[in-house]
Amino acid sequence: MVTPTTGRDLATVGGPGRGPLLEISHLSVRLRMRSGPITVVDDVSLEIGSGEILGLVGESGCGKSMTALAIMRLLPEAAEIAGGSVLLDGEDLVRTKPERMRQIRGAEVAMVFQEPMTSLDPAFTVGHQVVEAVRAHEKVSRAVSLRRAEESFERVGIPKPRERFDAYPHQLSGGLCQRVMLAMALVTSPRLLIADEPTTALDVTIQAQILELIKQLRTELNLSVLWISHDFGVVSEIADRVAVMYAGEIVEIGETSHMLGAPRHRYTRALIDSIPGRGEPRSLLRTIPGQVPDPGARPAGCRFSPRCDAPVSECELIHPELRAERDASSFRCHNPVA
Amino acid sequence: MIRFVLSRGIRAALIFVVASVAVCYGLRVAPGSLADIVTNPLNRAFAVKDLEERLGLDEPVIVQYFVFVRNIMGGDFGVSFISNRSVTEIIATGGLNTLKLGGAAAILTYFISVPLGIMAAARRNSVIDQGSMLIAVLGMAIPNFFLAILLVRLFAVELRWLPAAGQGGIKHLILPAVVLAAEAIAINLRLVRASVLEQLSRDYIRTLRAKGASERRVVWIHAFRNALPPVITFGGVMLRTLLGYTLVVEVIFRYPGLGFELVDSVLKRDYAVAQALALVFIAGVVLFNFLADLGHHLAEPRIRERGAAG
Ligand SMILES: Nc1ncnc2c1ncn2[C@@H]1O[C@H](COP(=O)(O)OP(=O)(O)OP(=O)(O)O)[C@@H](O)[C@H]1O
Ligand SMILES: [Mg+2]
Repeated sequence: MVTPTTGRDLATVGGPGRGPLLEISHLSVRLRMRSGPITVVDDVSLEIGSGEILGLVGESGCGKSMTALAIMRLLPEAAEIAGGSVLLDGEDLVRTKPERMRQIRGAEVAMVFQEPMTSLDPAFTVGHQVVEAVRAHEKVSRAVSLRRAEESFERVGIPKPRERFDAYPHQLSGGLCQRVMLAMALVTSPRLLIADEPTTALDVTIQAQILELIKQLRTELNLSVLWISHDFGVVSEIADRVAVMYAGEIVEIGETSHMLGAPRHRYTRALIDSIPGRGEPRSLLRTIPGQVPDPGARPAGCRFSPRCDAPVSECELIHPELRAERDASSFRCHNPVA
Repeated sequence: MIRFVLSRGIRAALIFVVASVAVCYGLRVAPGSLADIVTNPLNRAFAVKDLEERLGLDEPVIVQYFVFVRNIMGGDFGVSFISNRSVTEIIATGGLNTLKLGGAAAILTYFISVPLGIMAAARRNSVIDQGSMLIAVLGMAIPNFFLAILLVRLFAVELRWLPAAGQGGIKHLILPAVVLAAEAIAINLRLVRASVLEQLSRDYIRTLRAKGASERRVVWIHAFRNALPPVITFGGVMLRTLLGYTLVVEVIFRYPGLGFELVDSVLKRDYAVAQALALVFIAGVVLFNFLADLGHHLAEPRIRERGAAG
């Protein structure tokens, strides 16, 4: 099968040579607060190619989940999309009708959440919940949807699927629940999977298994993935490209291996330096001093400047623009790492 | 589970015994007597003595209590001093009437408060939500006798659509059932709304939406199913309250149920009837309390879990 290529530079997409499946442009999300609206996602632009895994990394509170929920149009009541577009194969999800959006959720874009135990309905069996995902989109018999659910359970490595079907979420471990979530997300063969810190609640072995699984599914199903994490280490293991987010905006974006070797933004470098077991002995492990500024109280210039190890005079005054490099990476810094 | 039922059962039986003593004693020491009512003032002194002797009312209360208990054990509730009907028959016909009225009120309560509460929660701050909260506030604020007067005035006196009192077909049931249910509707409406709202803010709701489940499924099946436990628990409490309110509502509407008969018999010092009916009411309250406990026990997720695992 010949896939149509767009006129776009393939390097910006990074995946195995296809046009972008998801194209987020200038997306902003606002929170309505009593003290007035605050912008938690600020002019974010991202692309995810078909079969590509894009990592979205940043400290807690920088707006990763809000970005993901905005794509799904599942923002909490207090939040709203203030501008921008989210094109899925050319269709703008920001402006699409609610019923069409419902059809897209699950069937074309699926999402896995951080807390597996609370993200499943406690009153229904897990089998029921996976079958429900099939039947939300396809008019198939119960038997067919059960078989599909079974296949999906097997695919994510849940042994003896039929025996697990009748379990309630509280009867399963966190790791199993996360697999059930994954099975539920994949049962309808979506094109894009948004995984919001899906491994944070899990122990290291299970985390590694799930990372392997995602990579395998990407190859088998040509699945695109938006992988969200606050841990650059995890992201670097799985993502083709990485977008680094800080205080609501993208501060650097580029190929994973490239960024790992030569980060440009000082926040990126700080994140990479804080990956455990990279070169330096543990005792020298660096953490970034200070905290992400509150969305309501961001510095006027570079938002990272108060925590930066090499600020220059512009940093406090001028908000740096996202600068594109020749290798299709970009960053937002007045005094980049050389 | 069995232990739970046993322990609550024993507790209920104890409450029942204590209450029966209180009823028996309370009725006897209340001022006035049967003889005041049934005797002719002219030959009163003689008649009173005679009557009291005949009925055993001159015995100490404690003796009367044990006579009463012995009779009940033998299935003999006695006969009304006033109408000569057997107490068993009064309980049976009155009980059936009260059951109809209470059943109508319970059905009315759930058929109104559950769907309305769910809709109010699903569309917070909409017209439906505000309307249902208005109903809830009014239902709790208006005393039921006053509501009865308003409704009788409007539907029976002015519009002449419904009978003002008495007993007969469905038509006779409507006004008393509405009055009886008003407060229960109000409380249950708020309860359903609050419980569904709480569920709608849970993480799993977002997961359901993320997989493309329809809003109708999310609200009416998943949120509602999880919102049920407090509603079930409240059901027992509600039945108990309804039973208590029949005393007022049946008297206002002259509806010949247990409540009407009880009030009537107490006013006439018809001890045998009053005593038996009071015990029926206590039994009802104890039973509904037990059901409320049981509902709560079954609806509590962690206890259910133990049941499911074992
Ligand atoms: N429901 C909410 N009400 C008010 N503020 C919120 C709400 N949810 C998130 N925020 C704020 O929005 C900002 C972005 O939050 P978001 O959840 O997107 O961060 P995140 O990058 O996903 O962090 P984490 O790693 O902790 O999940 C934060 O400052 C947070 O405090
Ligand atoms: Mg998050």
